[in-house]
Amino acid sequence: MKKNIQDRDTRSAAALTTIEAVFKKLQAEPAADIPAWLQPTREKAFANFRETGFPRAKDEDWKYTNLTSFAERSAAYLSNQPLAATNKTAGNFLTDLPETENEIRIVFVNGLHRPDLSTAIKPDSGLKLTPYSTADSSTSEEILHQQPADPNVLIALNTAFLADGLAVQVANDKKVETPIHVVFISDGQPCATQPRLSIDIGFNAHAFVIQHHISTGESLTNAVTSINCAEQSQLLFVRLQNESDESIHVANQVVRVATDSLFTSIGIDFGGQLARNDLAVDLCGEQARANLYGLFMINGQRHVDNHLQIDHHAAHTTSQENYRGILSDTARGVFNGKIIVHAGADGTDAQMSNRNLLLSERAEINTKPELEIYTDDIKCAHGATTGQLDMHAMFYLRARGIPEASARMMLVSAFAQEIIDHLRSATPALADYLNLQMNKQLPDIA
Amino acid sequence: MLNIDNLHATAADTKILKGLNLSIGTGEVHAIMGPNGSGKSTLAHVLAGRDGYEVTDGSVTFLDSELLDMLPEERAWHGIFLGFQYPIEIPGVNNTYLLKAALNARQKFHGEPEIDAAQFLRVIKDKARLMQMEQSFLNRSVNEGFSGGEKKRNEIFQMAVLEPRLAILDETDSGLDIDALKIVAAGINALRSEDRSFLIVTHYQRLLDYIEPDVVHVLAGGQIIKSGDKSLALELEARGYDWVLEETSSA
Repeated sequence: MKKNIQDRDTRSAAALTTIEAVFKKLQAEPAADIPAWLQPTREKAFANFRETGFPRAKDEDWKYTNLTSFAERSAAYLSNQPLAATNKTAGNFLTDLPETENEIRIVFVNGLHRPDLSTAIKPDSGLKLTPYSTADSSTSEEILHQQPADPNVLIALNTAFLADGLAVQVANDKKVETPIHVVFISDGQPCATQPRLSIDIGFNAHAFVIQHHISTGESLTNAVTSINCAEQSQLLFVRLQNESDESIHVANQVVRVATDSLFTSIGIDFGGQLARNDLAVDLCGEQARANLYGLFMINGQRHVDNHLQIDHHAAHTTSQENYRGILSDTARGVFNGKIIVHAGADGTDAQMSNRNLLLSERAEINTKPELEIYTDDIKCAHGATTGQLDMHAMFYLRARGIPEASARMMLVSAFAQEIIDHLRSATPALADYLNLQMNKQLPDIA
Repeated sequence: MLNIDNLHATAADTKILKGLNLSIGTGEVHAIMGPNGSGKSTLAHVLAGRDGYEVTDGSVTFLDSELLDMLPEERAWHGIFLGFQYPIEIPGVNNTYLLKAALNARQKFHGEPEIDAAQFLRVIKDKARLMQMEQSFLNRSVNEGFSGGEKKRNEIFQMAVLEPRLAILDETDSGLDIDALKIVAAGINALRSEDRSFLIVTHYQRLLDYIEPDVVHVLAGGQIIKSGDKSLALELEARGYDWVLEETSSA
């Protein structure tokens, strides 16, 4: 065991050395299609990445998720192709997208914006969508200003090799009804995709953004999303990860929610051989609220890890977390929900629930709530359950004439609906699409 | 229609049914009464194919097929319906969807085409009206948040839609107030027909005030110990079970 741990750390360190060589070569011969304004940021981020390094085997935050394969695939792909690949093969993926009416669709392939596959970005009073590759100097200033100050190692890696991204800026009082659907495609080339999305919701503004990942083959994605919700704003944010079963996918979302604002997040992981998602929400102003919902479904030897951290900084802030996992075969899931109630955050109300359905005896879930509380006047509740399919419900359905296999699928789907229903009210088409995606996988899982 | 011959069944190594014989003809309504723990619910569950019971002896034929060899869903496709004593809540499974899937599975088993969607909707609306259920119930999850009475009405509603050959109703009357009891009884009566049989398991006589049985059986100690016409139910209500038990043991 000890040898394994040393091996992991040695291999990660070797990967880092390779990545450093790639970065230095890029520095010496700067590529034309990387925006010049990103260059100082990239260099700073690389220094951060170099110093922090990949997580060690003993790192508590990475206890159940081994990033060695991510580190090695990153090194291999970056050596092979240090820049995002740009050939034009990704059209096929688009036929499989939900038919949501009137959405604004922005497509990225291997991390680069593809205007030819995207809705034409029209100048709109109050809604500004800017691919990093086309940002003018004032927008680039705003983008840089908005980025998280203290990046973790994965955010640093993303920034260090950042070539493109999307800035969504919603002006004060603007209510954007149309869903903004950002599709990140990895088309199967050996490319270390570093998707980047920054979302800025102005005072009293509303918006709905879908961050959607799809891929084929052994893709590699390290996504970063930074979100700012100004006072009295509302954002519905859907993260839908439906990459291939061979993909490695890591994602970070860093969210700041100001006074009287509501941030709602729905995170769905149906894909990935290895998926790790870190969602960090700072409730910065009084009455700020965060509703976080999540669902994952995995089989085979796949692995999904959800790490959530909510910081209640201000009084009368509210957070609600409801995450559900469905696991079969020898799949492994992790749920880590950390709630920190800081001094002065009186009247905080924090609820956390994690429920898991294990469809085989060898599937495994590690669920861990963590509460750190530095004030007295709060309401906090957390619960986690792990169980199998309800045999009484199975018999009820079969006694009505539902074949056993269908009854299992029906109950698994039912378990997921509580999360999908949160989408239904906002966008029935996307909820239907999710059910369709789920139904495709159910025969292999239930 | 149903022939039970010398049925022995155990649950968790406890013998519950000990040589039960029962024959139900087509179009007949049979009531099974008996003291607590006599095996009434076990009989209903064994007939429907629930896990957790072991049949150690005897046989059951239903419409000339060996019932005990079939999976629960196959029994449903052959025409068995079990009305549950405690209908289960299934959040996330839509009532209407369940019935449509159940009907289509049965159609498929019999090599018939899928049911017509418009026709199906008409049927479920009619049957919901029969059971005085609001249309909104149809689109809710199965029994989720239903009151006790609503759950039992939903059982009879499902039976009305599925149109079984043999309906086994396990203490459908328990927990019902008098208004709900009348609705449930009316629903059952509406389904009585010359090619449909009923096996009504009940603890009390009062359901039989509304549904007139052809035959009443007393089940005790895992066997049918006495059978008679509807007057037997009235006598049991007036005198309890002790006299039947004494009569049998002295016989």
